[in-house]
Amino acid sequence: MADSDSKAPASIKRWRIGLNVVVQVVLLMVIVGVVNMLSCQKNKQWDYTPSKRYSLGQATEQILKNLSDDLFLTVAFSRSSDTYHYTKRMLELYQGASGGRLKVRWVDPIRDPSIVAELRDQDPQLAFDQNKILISKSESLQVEGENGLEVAPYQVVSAQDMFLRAENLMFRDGRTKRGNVTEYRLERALTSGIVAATQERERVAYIITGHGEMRTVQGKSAGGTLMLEGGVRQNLQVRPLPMTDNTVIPKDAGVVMMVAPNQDFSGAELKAIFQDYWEKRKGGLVLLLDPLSHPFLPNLRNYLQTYYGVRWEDDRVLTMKNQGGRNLKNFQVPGWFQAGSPVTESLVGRSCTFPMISSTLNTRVEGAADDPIAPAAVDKKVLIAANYAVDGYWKEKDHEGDPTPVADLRETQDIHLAVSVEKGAGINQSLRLNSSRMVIVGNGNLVDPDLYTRESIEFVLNSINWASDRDDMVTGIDTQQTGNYRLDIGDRPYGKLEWMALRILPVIVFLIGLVVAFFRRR
Amino acid sequence: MRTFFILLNRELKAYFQSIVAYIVIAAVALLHGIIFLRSVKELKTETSSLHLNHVMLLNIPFWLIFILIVPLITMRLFSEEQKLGTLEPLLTAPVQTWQMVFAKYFAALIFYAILYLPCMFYMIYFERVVDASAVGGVSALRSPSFYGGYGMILLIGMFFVAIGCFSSAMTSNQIIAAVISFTILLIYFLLGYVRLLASDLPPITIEFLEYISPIEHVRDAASGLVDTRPMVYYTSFTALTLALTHYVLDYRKWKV
Repeated sequence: MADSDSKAPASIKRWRIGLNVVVQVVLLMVIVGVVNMLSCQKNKQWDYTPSKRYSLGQATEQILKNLSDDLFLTVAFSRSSDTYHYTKRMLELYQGASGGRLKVRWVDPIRDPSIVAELRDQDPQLAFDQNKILISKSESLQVEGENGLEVAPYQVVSAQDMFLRAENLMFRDGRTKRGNVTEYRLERALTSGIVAATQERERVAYIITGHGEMRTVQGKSAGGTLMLEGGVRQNLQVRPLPMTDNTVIPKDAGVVMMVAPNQDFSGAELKAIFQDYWEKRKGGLVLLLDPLSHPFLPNLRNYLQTYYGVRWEDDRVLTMKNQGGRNLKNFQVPGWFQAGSPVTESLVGRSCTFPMISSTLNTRVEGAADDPIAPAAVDKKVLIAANYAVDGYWKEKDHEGDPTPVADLRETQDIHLAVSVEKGAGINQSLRLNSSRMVIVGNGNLVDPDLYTRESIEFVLNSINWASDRDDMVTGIDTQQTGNYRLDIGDRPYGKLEWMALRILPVIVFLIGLVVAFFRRR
Repeated sequence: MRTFFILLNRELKAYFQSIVAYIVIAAVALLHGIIFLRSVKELKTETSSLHLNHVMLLNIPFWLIFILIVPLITMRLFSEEQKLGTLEPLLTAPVQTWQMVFAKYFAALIFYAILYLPCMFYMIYFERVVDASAVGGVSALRSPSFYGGYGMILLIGMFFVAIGCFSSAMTSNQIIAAVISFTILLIYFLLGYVRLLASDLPPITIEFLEYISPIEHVRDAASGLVDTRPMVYYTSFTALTLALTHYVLDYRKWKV
């Protein structure tokens, strides 16, 4: 009897303690779960990668912050892809910066092809498969329109836009290895895609024709180059503009371009371009001038010098190389991007090899004195200049006759290859709205389909964006070069490493152990 | 706190006054040395977008050692005390259970951290001998990615050692304790790869698997990306596992 009395309270006590422990454990698990959920939502990241690979540029952050509607990203990346991890991290940053406006849906087109098939049902034209990101304004590609269901505008960003790879490696045994990523362009491509998808209207760049502009070669043209590079990334439409005396620049012109004209413009044409469009309508101009056409364009030259203070010099920039005792001229010179302008901000410190021949632009001449339209100050900036100290430039002035002696060619100053001209902006940076903007380059081949480079097209697109008041697309969206590592290590250093890793260090540790054991026994 | 340090000292002595500890450190240093040389060879023959330290930390054999070593360190912590019958006197002594748990845990963690010092040394030695950076660009000692990578190895180790403590507290048989913790750690490690193999997983499951994947955490940290999520994750789950260990040991007090 006494036993059963003492047992009953003990079992109740145990039961209570047990229940107490269970409650405590459950509570702890809930707390840990909640803490982890909160940490996922409010996480902080610090990017110490050498190229700041996991950071967003200011322009991207601004664009994402200004998103007024939700945007849907369907990401078709295989989870085993070598770019999956990076893409995921970047999209997390994009989502965070958008304040929840960006909705990301991951699909694996190989393992789960149903979503991709569903999207293709909505738009059979959709080219969307592995390693692409679809940017759309609604989750479904079809929206209610005036004529019933219609396909809503969308953008597709492909892996080629986002990642630049080295060539695939072929081994002797027949194996192939996919080339490593050498440059991360995801931010630039994705932000441009977002801008394109959210823009109501496409921007139109008109290329003036009818003045002997750059010809089309094998179906490829300067306009084609711009469309190829800027069309998808920046929602840029490129159209020809046949120029005559009666031409009026179209209202939808975001920017008007002259690409290597070689027949001069009449006064009426210049008035339509510069006065009516550029100054009155605060337009944007990008002029790519071919030195070979210099003698044939006196009206254009005079106009630029008289009204904007930019003299297109009758010279050619070159570097000299000594080969076999002979000085050889090299006209394909490197130009260095200068700081201080939004056009070159993402390119400063890099150089661009100018294809064919280039001439200099002198910005120190007096101009705008008798400007009948807008007496406001003209602000000129050098965008690309030659660096004599690095490359040893020369300017050839007497290119009509025999080659000039080398000693007479040397010039160390004022080798400016591209300049920007802004009118009506005033000095205050914050008031730089609705100004007339123009970029002039002393080379006509920067967008030549066979000659353009990554830097040259980047510069021209930046110029177009700046000239058309699209500064947000100009700066801050840089690409990140990634280091590719390969060890060039000889047998001797490798032998030293081998000795240390396989012999010296383990033996030292073992000897210490023996000493400790020895003293302990004593 | 004084009791805790006395217990910690006792545990550390138990580790470092035995030649077995030095044999383990020497063996792990040798194995890490082999992986280090393998990584060097890999970068000698093929171009990689990952630097030497990154290649080494993402090596599968490196992780196998990682998973194998923790049960070895922790298996004897509580099991041995239980088997020898020294746990009961400890629990009845004027020592709090948490003090005992923390002392054993931190002793194991310190031993674990020492095991990874040769790895760091190899990188520094490599830079001296080869005159090239082991972490891409700057010297390892000045590189945040170097400290980030090993900091993450320490964080993961905190959690893994806690799991080992918990397993050891569950049984009086050291082998069973080692098998339990090895199994838990192996399953946990492989969970990170499930997302690569399994199809039709719901997005939330993939998110979760990526969130807990240690190899992904090391990948980020060793490239120079410091994120608060894995820090919170490992710290909180370490605390939870140690709390569970505490309850398992306390269970002896109230079961009689």
